[in-house]
Amino acid sequence: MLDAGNTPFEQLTVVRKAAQLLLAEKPESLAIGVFGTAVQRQRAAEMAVYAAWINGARLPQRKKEASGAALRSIRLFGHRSANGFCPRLAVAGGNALCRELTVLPPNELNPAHYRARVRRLAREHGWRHEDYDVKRLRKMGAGAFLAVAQGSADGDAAIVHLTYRGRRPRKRIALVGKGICFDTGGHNLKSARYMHGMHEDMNGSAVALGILLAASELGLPVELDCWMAIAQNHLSPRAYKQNEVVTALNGTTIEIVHTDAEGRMVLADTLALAARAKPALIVDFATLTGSMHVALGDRYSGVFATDEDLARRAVAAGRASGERVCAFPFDADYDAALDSQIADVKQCSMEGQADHILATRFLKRFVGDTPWIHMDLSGSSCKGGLGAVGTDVTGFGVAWGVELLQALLGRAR
Amino acid sequence: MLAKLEQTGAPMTVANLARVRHALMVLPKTTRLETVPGLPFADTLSRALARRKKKPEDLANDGFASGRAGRLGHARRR
Repeated sequence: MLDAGNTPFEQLTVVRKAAQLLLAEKPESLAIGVFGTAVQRQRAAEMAVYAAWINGARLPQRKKEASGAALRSIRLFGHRSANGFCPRLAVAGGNALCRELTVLPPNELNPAHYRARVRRLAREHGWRHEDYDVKRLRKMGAGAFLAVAQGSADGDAAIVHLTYRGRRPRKRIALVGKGICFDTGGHNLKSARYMHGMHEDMNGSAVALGILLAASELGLPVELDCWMAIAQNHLSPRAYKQNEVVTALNGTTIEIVHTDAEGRMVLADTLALAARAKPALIVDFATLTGSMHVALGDRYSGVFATDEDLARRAVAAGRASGERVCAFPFDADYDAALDSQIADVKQCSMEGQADHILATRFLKRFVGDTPWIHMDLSGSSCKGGLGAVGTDVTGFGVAWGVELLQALLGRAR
Repeated sequence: MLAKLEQTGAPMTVANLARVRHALMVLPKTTRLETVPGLPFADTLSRALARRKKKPEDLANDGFASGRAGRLGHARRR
C-alpha cells in the first residue's frame, strides 16, 4: 500500500520490500496490478515497475551453482505509460551498471579491465573517449594522482574522460568519480577488517558512469563529461610515503600525511582536469571518508556545495529520487587544520576531527571558481538494501544525479 | 539486461491472476479494502489480515505475500 503522505524514499522502500517477497523466488515473469485513482495508479505503477527492474536484475556471482536467472518480463495491469517509464528504465539501467561494476572482485575489475570495459561502453553508446595514462599524466605534472598510481606495479592507472553530447545541449556539466579498484591503505596499511570490501572503493566512478549511461539513454540536452580516476592504492617500494611533498596538476604542493587518504589525491588532479574545461558545474562522487559514515551511517550520503542554491537543489534531488542527502558546511576556517610547514597544504589531518569536511576543503583547491557539488558516498553500501534497491551495494547517487540533471535542465520528470 | 515491460490499461482481475505465478498488487493507503475498486481477492486479504490482528492501513508500512488460498506471509523488516 502506498501512502501519498509518505516521502518517495518511504514509498519506494515499501514497494521494494513487497516486490522482494516475490523476486526472492527468482521468477521469470512478474505481474503488477495497480489500483486507486488514475493519479494513484500512475504513481504506483512507476514505483513498482522501477523496483521490479532494479531488483529483478542479477548481480555477478561466481558460484558453481547458478542462483537463478534475472527477471525477464513484467506485465503491468491498470496503467499504461505513454513513454514506457523510460526515465525510470534509464535510471534502473545506470543503477544496475553501477552495482554490477562495484561488486566485481578486484582480480576481475583491476584498472586495466575497468578501462577496457569503459572503452567498450563508450563505443556502444557513442561517447567520446580519452585516456590520460600514467605516461601522459607524468608529462602533464599530475603529481597527486601519480603519487597513488606509482605504488601499483602494473602501471595501468589512468584518468578516463568520456563525453556524451546531447542534441542542442543547454549546459556543460562534469561528473567526476573516484575509481580505486582496491585500497590497501598503502604504507599506512588497513587492518584486515577494514580492508575487506575495499574493491568497492571504485564506487564513485561507477556512479558517475551510471549517470552518464542514464543521461545518454534519455537523450538529455546536456554536454556531460565524465572523469574517472582509476587506480589502486597498493603497498610497494615505489608507493608514496608520509612526509613526501608532491606537486599537483594545478601547481599546489601537498604534504603527505596518511597514505590511506588516497581518494583525495587522485580526485585532486581529476577535478583540476575537469575544471580546465570550464563546465557550468562539477559534481564528484567518492567513497571518501570514514567520518561521513560516523556522521550519517549508511542510509544517507553527505553533500557539500559551493553555494546555498546548489545545496538546496542537491537536497531536493535527494528527496525526489529517494536517495537522501544531507548538506554539510565547509567554511574556510577549517583550512587551519590543513596548514603545512613545508607545502601549500596538508593532505589531511591526523587529529581525526571532521575529516569529511577537511577532505572537501582540500578538494576545493582544485576546482577553482567552478560551481561544485561533492558527494561523500556513505550510502554506497547498506546491509539489507536501501530505498528501491534490495542489495547491500545500493548504486546510491545514480538516481540522485539524474534527478539533479533534469532539474538543472528544467525538465519535469 | 533489465526485464521487458508489457503494459495494459485494463485492470488486474481474478482471471488474470489465475494465469500468473507471481503478482504484485499496489494499492493506495486505505482503512477499508472494499473501497478499493476492482481489487481481486479483497475478501481473502481482509480475512487474512483479521486473523493476524492487522488493519488494512498497516500494509502501508510492510508488504504481504499471499497464496491465492489466502495464506499470508509478512515481509521481513529490514
